[in-house]
Amino acid sequence: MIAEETLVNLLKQSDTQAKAFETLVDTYKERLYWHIRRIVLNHDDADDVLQNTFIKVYRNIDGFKGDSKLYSWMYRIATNESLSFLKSKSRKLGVNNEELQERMVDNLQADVYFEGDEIQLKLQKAISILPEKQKLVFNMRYYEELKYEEIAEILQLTVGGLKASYHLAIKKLEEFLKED
Amino acid sequence: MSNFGKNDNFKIPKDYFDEFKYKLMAKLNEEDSGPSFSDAYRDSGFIVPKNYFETLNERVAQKADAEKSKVVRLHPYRQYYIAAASVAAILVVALSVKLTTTKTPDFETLGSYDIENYLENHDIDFSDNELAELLPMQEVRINDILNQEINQEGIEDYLDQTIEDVQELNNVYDEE
Repeated sequence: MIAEETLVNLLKQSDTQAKAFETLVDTYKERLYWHIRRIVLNHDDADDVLQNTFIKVYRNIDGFKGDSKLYSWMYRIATNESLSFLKSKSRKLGVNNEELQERMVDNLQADVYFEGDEIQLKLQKAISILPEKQKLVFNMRYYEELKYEEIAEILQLTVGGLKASYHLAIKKLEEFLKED
Repeated sequence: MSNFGKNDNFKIPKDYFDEFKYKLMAKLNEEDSGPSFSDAYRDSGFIVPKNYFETLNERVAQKADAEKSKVVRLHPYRQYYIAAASVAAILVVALSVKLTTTKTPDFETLGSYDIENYLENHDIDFSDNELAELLPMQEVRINDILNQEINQEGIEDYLDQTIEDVQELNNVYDEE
């Protein structure tokens, strides 16, 4: 795999930019897709947000200073794009965030790109009522198996705070799943 | 080693000490990785259409090209309003840079995406007028504002968020 620093340099030069961007998309498309999908839940929305994420990366690469890792920066853009997308969606539908989350999970039952069983659907319901930060941390730690240090760099939070958030998220999910 | 418990009546389970280090390592790993959560849920049930990832590159390139060539008709009044919003944004950044006492991050090391995103996602309870009042005018040169390029995407985002009906905007343009 091409080194991050090399890739960034190639992305900043006009003659190598197109090829480097292709490499960038190939390298990160799947992990960013799943990160986004777990936030927006629906495939078509995830596809839109993923494309916007890559376009923003492409447009802003000159402003990338290398203070964080490239993938952390891209994850951050993907996270922000996903959250902005949800804000915009709730505004358009005239509902608040909680109502939107409820609708999103309800829609999963009829979603052709969701094959989860009853338990997985229940877990999605449980995740949907977590506070935003706990939801992000849970998804990144549990599903994406990122290290706390990596999550801290992406979300620009402390490792201690993240551990606390993850712990609280799990307690809430366990309680929710025990119900009924 | 075996003399440590020789003269008391306490007993331990068979192979306790042999297994202890493994239990300890498992515990340390668990603490390092946070509390455990059943692996049974690891498969989230989400799937993607066939060949989705194989065709993504092409679609991203097409979308990027399409956005480059998109043209939005704007009434000049709207441009002034956008310029005012941009000035407000610049002022917020300028003031926050000035007020900060920590060494990092400074303006130079912040990427433009991070700045835009901060302004977009934080509730800044200042109106444009309030921001203007906070501005030490003697420190602002007209070129600080005029030289700020407003990209098309910014304009589109602004319109998307503030204009309910784009057709209405075109009507205003046509009327004049």
